[in-house]
Amino acid sequence: MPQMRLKLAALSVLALGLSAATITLEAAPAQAQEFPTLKKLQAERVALARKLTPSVVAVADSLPDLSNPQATGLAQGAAFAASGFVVDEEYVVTNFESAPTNNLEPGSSCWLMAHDGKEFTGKVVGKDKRNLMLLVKMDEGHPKLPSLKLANSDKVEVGSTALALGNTLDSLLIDRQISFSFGTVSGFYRFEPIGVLNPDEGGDPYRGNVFEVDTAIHAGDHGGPICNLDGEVIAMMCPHWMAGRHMGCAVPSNQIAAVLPQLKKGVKEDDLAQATLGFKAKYSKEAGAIIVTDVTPGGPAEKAGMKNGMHLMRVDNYKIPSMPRLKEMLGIGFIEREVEIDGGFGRTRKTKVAVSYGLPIGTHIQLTVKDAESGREKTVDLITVQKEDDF
Amino acid sequence: MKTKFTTFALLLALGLSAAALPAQEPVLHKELEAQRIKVAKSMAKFTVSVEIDYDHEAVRPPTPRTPRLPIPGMGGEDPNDPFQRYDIGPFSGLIVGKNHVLISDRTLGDFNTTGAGPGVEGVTVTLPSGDRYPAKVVGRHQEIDLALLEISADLSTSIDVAIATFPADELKPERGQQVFVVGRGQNPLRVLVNDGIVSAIDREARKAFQLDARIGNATLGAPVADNDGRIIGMVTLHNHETFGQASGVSYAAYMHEVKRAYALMKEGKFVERPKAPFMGIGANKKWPDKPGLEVGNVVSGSGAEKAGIRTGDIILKVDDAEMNDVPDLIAHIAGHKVGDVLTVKLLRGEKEMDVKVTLGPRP
Repeated sequence: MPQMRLKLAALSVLALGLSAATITLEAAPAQAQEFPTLKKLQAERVALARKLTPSVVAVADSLPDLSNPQATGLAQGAAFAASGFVVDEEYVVTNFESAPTNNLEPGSSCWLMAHDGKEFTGKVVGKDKRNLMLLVKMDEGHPKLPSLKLANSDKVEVGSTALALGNTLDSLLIDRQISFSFGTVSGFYRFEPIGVLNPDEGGDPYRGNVFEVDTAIHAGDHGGPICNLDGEVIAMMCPHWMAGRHMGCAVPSNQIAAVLPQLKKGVKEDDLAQATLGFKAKYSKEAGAIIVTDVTPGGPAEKAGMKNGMHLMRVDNYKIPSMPRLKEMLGIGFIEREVEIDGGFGRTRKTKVAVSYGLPIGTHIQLTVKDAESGREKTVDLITVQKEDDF
Repeated sequence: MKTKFTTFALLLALGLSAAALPAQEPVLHKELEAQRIKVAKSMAKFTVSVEIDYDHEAVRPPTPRTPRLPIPGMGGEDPNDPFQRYDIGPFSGLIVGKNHVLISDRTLGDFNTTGAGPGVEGVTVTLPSGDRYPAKVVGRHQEIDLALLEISADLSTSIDVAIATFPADELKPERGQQVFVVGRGQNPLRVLVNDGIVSAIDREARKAFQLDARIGNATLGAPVADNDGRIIGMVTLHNHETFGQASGVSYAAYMHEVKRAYALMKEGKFVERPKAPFMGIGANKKWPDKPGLEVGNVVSGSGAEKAGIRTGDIILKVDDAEMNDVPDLIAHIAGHKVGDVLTVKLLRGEKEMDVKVTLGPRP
């Protein structure tokens, strides 16, 4: 022990003698040196926040009245306030489902705000209801903002990091801050009805995939990016119409990437390329089951090992109640249905509700098929591709 | 000498400034992420997706729940309709034997000594490979909220590895320790990971620990792993209430308790949760200035009815303890077991009388 002390003393004398810089090192608070890993982790997070923030913007349909500091975006006159992120230098991707009402349609102009508070305008060039997304082209004279790259969302795994950046409760408008939250991807879903409205109130029957994240997502964040540690976008944040579930939902980037080139070209909503699974299905009375037919060679179904004549048992682990239902579950094409809704005063009224806009390209779907001969059931994972005749 | 010193000072200064700058690349976070994914993957072999077919007309929901609002016009009456899905399952299960899978008992409805409760039409297990097998309920252990399923598939390749990851002895985690919940649920082909820390140990009669990871129906029955990849617990005893003080608190049973229960269930034992003692009256404090509690109603077939207690009687004392408020009575009954006999001093009209009430099980 005395030897140790001597050594220490010798070392410190040496250190003192070397330069003034070492003295400041020794004078650093002892507590701060006890958790070097935590400090490094924190520094990494701070660097990520700094790096990603300039690519995130606030989007609204009109210039909010900022003179009333009490009111938030919606109260300030804008009917729609959300977040968005910059892609390909002059475009902004955002979510049109962030507020119950919004009048942003292709062709209309919108108001944008950069991370530093600079205001500018843009024009909506495309809308894809299947992905709940809007594409905005920034008008000339817009500030130079760094673009974000879209990552391959198929490579995202459960446990991957999910960084969320957004204009939480209009934080950008009021406090000039883009909020930054940290979490992980905890699951993958389909049939999670996301969107701000209950589908029976006219909300959107979204049929794509949903990433569940445990990152804190709040009103105003929707449309903002979920990034991985490389700073690439893996998903776009979306609201869940049952806010009480506190479920962080996001649309995977592959679905967005698949439709982006067409939206940039200005393809109208109804003319966007359709998705396909590479097979057809029909009900067979003899077999008493739904039978897979017309499996396209080289298509997703064939690649997953599906063959003509197999029985289709389940979609995403749900039984298939009927043929019309199957169409809805697979989200094939635009389907509308007349429904009775509560009209108030104890009366009901009839209205038309869309139950499907069609599947986004790049959607993962699980199908359970049964081999008619061996009777073995198997669940396979398919990814929708663009229909050939749309090329 | 002078140049040497300046170079040294310069180097030192450079080193210091580098240390002061924030790290530009998230190296540590990437390392953490890779390890988290690795844990998820290594655990994924032992978790299966378990689906339970409920006859919604006949069965009371197995857990307190809020049904997902049915979407008018978008679904029929079919409970298997995804557009009108209730928030019950599919659940997760843990492979524990050659053809054995453990799940949470609450998913099987009312207790039944021959299998699943009435109203449960079938149980299906989907393996990580995507193969589906019908399952048979061969044992239930309600005290720790576990049930044992048997399927025809040979799971021995999974179980050899799984057993190696079970701690050999009693292993209690420490508060603050990192845990991973790895489930399957709705997506049989993909795992579901929630990470968190151990919030408290020795909860629920010292059979479980509490964790702060998010638990949903999908992760009910999922294994809980520690940093070393060992399975230290299983998500059971979860409180599903959407509202109230205890809503959403997550528990996981200790692995040694799970193993003990498994050994019992393997022999075909069905262990029912001990029922709470029940007297069978509804009492209220009618007159604040008078002693005793007034009997508001008597449950037919209960111990109170058999003892002859009637509506309108005033309960003055139970076993020489004065009853001046409702909590007095509740606390007194809770201190006894099913089958105990209580002496109740009643006031009926002007007449005082003693009756003997045998406590029955709470229905």
